[in-house]
Amino acid sequence: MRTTKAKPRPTRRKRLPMRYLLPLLLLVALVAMLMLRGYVHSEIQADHRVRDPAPTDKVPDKIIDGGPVIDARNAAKPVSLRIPDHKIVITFDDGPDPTWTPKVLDELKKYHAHAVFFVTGTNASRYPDLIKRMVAEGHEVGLHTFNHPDLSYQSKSRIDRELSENQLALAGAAGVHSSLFRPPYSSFADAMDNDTWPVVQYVGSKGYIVALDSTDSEDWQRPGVKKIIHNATPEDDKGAIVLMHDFGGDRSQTVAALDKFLPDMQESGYSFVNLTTALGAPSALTPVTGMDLWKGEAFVGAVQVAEHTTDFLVVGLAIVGVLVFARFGLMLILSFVHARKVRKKDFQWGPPVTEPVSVLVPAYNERECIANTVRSLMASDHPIEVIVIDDGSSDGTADIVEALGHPNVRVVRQENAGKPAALNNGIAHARYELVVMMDGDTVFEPSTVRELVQPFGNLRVGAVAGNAKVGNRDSLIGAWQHIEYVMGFNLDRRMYDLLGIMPTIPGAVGAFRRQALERVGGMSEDTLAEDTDITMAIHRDGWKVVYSENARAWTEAPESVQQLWSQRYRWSYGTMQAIWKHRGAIKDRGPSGRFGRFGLPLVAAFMVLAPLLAPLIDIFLLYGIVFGKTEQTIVAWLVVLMIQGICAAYAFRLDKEKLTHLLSLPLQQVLYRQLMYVVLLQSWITAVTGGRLRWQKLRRTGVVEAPGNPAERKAAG
Amino acid sequence: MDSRISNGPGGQPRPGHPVDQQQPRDATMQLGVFAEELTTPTRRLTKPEPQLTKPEPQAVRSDPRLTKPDPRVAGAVPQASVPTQQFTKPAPQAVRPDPEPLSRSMTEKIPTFKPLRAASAEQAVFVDASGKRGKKLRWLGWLFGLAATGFAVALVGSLLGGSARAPGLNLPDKADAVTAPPQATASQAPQPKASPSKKAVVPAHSASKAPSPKASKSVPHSATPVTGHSPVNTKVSPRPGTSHKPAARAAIPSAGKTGA
Repeated sequence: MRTTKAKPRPTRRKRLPMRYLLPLLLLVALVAMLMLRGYVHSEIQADHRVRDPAPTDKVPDKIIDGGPVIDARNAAKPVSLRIPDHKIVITFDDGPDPTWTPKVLDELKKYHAHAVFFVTGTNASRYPDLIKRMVAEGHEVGLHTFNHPDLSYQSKSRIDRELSENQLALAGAAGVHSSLFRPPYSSFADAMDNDTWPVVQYVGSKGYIVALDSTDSEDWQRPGVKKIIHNATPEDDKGAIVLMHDFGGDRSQTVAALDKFLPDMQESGYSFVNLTTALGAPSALTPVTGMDLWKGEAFVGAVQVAEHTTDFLVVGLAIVGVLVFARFGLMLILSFVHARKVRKKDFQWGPPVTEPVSVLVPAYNERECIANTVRSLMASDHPIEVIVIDDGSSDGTADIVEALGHPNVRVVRQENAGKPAALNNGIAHARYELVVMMDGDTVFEPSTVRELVQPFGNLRVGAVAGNAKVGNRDSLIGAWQHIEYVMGFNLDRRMYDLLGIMPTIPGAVGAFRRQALERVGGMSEDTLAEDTDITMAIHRDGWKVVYSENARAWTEAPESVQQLWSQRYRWSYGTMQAIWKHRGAIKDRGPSGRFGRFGLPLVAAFMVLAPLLAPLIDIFLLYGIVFGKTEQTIVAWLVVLMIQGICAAYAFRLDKEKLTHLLSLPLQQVLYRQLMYVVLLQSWITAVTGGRLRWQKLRRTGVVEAPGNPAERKAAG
Repeated sequence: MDSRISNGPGGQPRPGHPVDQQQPRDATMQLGVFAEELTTPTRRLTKPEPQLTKPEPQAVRSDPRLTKPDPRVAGAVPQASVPTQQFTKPAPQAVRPDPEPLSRSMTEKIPTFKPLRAASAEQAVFVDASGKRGKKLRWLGWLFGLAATGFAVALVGSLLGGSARAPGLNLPDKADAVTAPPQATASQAPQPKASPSKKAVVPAHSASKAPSPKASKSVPHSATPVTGHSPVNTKVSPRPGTSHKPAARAAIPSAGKTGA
């Protein structure tokens, strides 16, 4: 369908194409944040392999028989240290956890005990406040790598990265670096084997004191408070490093165990101290200044930003998910109800309408199609008069029509003024009360006009939408639009008909009561989508707008991507204009208020909000496939595709269309849908920035009956 | 060919009739239900009153120059250019006798259709001809771009060139596996009464004696009692009460009473 064109504007001076750069930048930023979030949630790069025990011949005996603290900084002489008697070093691994660590800290504070927290970089960057609190309350913090992989599987560079990023997180969280390290999946010193010993050696070479443990409370298995305490208690009065966890699930037993373990041990003569205190050394925490501090704070800051922003993204995804599924559900249910209602044997809109109808055909340079269009109209089985409004064509469209010589066809010429003006011109020339509007390249069936005007038997009906069909549906792009028309537009129309909120009557096939048109002031040029505008205005005036499924009209969909882009740009921009123009209806009373409070938000949600948020689906889809759980993501996508396929098949059945074109549905979801929301985004940007589109006309001085008007010519002789 | 309709759509002849007539027609009775609408078009039907936000156009015009549509001229355009001139004289079409439609429709006469003034592009929805909104948003766009770039720089910069090395830590000098003597633990127990408790930030410190009122001997090995204190912590943690007990017991180098 070609609109009647207005003259093009002069081009603007070149500026930085922000409308493309900014969305791209936003997309990249969002993806980066998603990836950072995935990294600190251990979804990306997480390595969950754990070694089986191995032989121990390479490990020095004095290490295996030694204490839980290993000082391997001197590679030639690794030293093993024990905890003195009457001292317990409680250690908590894998933290901090927002739920349990505060409780653990509270317990420690209550009993004036100190402990060592071996924290992961992921959690430290996510909950920096807890690290601050640990340090402030006198506890010690040690490293436990960034992402908790089994270091015996990792390369040296990966180990370096795990250590440096862990330090980075500590620096950002509390402004300190630590000299203590505990390898993930480690245990007692006598469990050291040929796989784990090289790790300790390497880490020692980096200057770390490695702390294993003496007793393992096994609290992560949740064996019960008594068992935890029993496991944790050292023999006699010996000193010990106790392994506990403050992360990784329900740690309520750990907290409850602490509440008994701490006072009991203290009464037995033990004190709970930091590791370096027990060893008689200065604190393992060193304050960080300068560049290291800034880098740490930058990293933790970035993680916090990423976490909070992606939370919004997840909310957005939930919204669009709800909208999509609600739309599916409504479409299916309401289409079923609508079809049943209008196909009942005794269904009638009202008394049959037999009065003649005026058919308006605004045309601009439609020399190829206009003859077909007019001929199809003349084959109509309903009495009509045809008014072709030639909007200043330069290719002789008007002459072609006149040459057809049909008695009921009139030609009105005007200077090029745009489609709304042409339609208004046509309405003024129309003789009858019922007015059908179509496009210059639309082809009607013989029954179309009759089917289209039958609903006017119901006095409340002010306008009727017909069933526009894509004629050129065999090309790929045509097939996609065919699917879109059948499912998206026509299934939607049934739903909107029942709900009484039809937003658009297609310009290719629509009928109006002249009275309704007059009352709302005719077609307006305020928006690029004058069909949507007039339909909304008619709603607000209190009329019913219905869908006549048998009023088929065949239209030619754009065949090239450029034309499609252009068409959809106008449609989406115009729809947003119309919604905005009629936004005042929210405050109105009566039918206008109903439309404003119920119809407008629904239409805005389905036609503007959902498509704008649709890119989130693709972002999360890609993220899930690449970084997340691949199989589950693909399965979810396939399920949605299947639901869409079912909807589409139902729509096709209702319209009695062949199902073969549905084969291009999967590809449509991958290519066509993305094109549509890029177009919508661009039109949204134009709307927000207030730019003028090239289809919008400059101020006009008034439309003239063009010279060359037949009557004038006749008068001239 | 002009649209001189001599025959109706069904082939019936049309009575010649000037279009602008005022009297209601009876011929429309055949249309049945529409009959009740056969008043002047301004009379509402049994529909609810409209609540339009824009002014209703006067729908009915008894205008001699009926079929001349001038929707755009309805909004007074100041320029008296050639186009407007043409409207002051009767339109050519009005000169021709316009054939009567076959059966009268509800509107027994064709009013001049006067739609609201067609808005020009300057008045179109969203269009901001002054460009102010665009400029403001462009400025915001730069801001956002800067923020995003800053985020990227912060993130990438922080991850680059990190050192995996631990800060230095001086453990007390021990030849091999060592159990620190009990007295050392006494001197190291955090005691608020301990006189110069060095709370300073001392990452590495050679051994120095910690004066301890409770301990009978001071041990050469004892390190600085920067015990339990992190560099950023400035408070001494334990209470006087609890710390004495273990210290008292430890001073007696016997097994001591075990509590519960």
